[in-house]
Amino acid sequence: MFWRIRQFAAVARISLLDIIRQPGFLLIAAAGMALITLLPLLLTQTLGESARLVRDNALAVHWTFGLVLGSYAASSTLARETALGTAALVLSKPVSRSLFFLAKFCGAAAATLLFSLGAGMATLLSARMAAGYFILDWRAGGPAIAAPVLAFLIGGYLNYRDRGPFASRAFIGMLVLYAAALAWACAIDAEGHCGAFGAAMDWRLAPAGLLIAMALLMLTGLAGLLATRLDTVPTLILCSLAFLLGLMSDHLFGRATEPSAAVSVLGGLLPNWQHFWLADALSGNGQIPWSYVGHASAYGAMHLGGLLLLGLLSFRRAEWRNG
Amino acid sequence: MKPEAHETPPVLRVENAGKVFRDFWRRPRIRAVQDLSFEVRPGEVFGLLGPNGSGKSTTLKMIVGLLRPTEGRLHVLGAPPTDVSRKARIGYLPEDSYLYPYLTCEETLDFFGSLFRLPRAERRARTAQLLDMIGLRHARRRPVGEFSKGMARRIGLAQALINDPDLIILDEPTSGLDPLGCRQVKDLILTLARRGKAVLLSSHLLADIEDVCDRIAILFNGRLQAIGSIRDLLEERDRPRVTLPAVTPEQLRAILAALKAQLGREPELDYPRRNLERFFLETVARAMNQDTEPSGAAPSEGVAPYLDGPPHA
Repeated sequence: MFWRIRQFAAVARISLLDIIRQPGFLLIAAAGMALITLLPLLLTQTLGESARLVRDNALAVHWTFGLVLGSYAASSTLARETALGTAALVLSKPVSRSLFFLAKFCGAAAATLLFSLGAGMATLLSARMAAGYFILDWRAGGPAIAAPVLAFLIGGYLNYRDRGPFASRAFIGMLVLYAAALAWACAIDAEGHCGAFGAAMDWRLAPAGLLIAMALLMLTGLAGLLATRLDTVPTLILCSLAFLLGLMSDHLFGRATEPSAAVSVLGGLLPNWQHFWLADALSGNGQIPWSYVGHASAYGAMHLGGLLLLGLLSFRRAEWRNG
Repeated sequence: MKPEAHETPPVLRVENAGKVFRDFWRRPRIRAVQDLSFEVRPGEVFGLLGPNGSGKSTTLKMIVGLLRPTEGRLHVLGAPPTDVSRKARIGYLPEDSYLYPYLTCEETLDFFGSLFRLPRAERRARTAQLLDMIGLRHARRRPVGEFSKGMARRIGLAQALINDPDLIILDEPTSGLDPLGCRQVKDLILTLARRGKAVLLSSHLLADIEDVCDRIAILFNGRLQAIGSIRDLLEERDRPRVTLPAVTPEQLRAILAALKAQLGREPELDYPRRNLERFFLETVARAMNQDTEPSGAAPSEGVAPYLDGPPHA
């Protein structure tokens, strides 16, 4: 049993490494995180609504870039490996197909969650930077704006020094520097004085970000299922379609339609993304209750379990002509 | 093959195996392999020969469980190919070196080692020994995606041997390798066979097959056309050849005259030439003495010690 866990960890780890070392992953992740960080600069002078706009847009960027990244990660680790033959090579070792599929999903899910972590930190920092009316809190936000640039410079230097992988080091560097910037922002108040740690941050964004991360895990699971049979581009297209249909789920299968068994089944099968998009709940001094996060996560976990089960069934029957 | 190898049970038995690839509508599209039967025993080097599309790679993939036979049965180390646990005793090198392009050489071997029940220290030791064996120790921190085809092939071969397998399946093992690398792979195959390993290899390179194989099977259009030992298949017993030590021209004339008198016709006379492979290896060995830092694969340091232990009982 311990050996199986070690195998699982090895496959998941190598998948994560392979994903985060791809330049495409770095480009999407860095663009998403940097865009969230720069939102306050773009939206500050907007009739005093900047805080809300920054918050809503940051969560939207987190979701859309996460959708692309999750689909890319899952299809790159499954569809690309199937096409290239690396999946076949690993399966010629004493590795069961179920273990391989689940470990690959975990590798892709870990990459997606790392992006979510970065996007979540960037969202908190952006909201903090745009908290005041018509002014930007440069003391708190400045380090966050510098973080992507610094991370790329550090990645480049390490690549020059010891030929290490640039993409993964720049990405990990971004996460570390965003964490440092967040710690700095938590430590100071709007005037730049040391205050109660984290008192000036809008922590209501944390459950909103967690819900989006859960939705992204579901999308990664869907991409994993599709990638057992399809290439990267069709996987990405179908994931986007599922995302759009899921956003309209209430309209298509909910209260607006005549109740029928078929509509109920379809509505139940298609993930309803509205459960995970709660930016509106943060208007005014609104809060997202943690109990709601728990319920939505249980809903997401059930869908994810179903997707992974279908993926397992599909993958167990696959044959490898490449490899 | 050692004589006693016939008495040991086969590590691989293929019985009337067939594979049909179907199209989207489940209609038969390609009959890749038909009614194929052969066995491979411990200590034997068995070669699968055939032109492109003859079913060699499909057969190998059925043996490692990547494809399911649609007819017949396969027994690999006494179990069906779908038995995952038996794969711990198999080493497989696919037709192309399918590796993770963003992983370094060292990470690649360590990863494949971690899929077997190898303690970390043993895994690291074997990784180091294999890197020496394939002459890529100096490139151990370079991503595999930057490698030439020959270098990637060497890493592919190393990953197939990290578990010290009992059945080694090599699909075009010398493809993309320079003559030095080819010779090394062939020596390695012979060393492994001496240790009692069964080696199944497929290749287009007939000279390679002839150099190392005990028995061969020739496939065409997925069907077995010929099978047997190299000696039985190639030897022309009605045309014996005599090799003489160095003789003077007078002695040679006398011998030829005597032969002509016996045979009633002029015997053929030719002089053996040095093998081009041997000549190339000698030339490169001389050049290596004026050594510079290698950019590709460095000269190898023999067989990895863990692969060169005493023969199996």
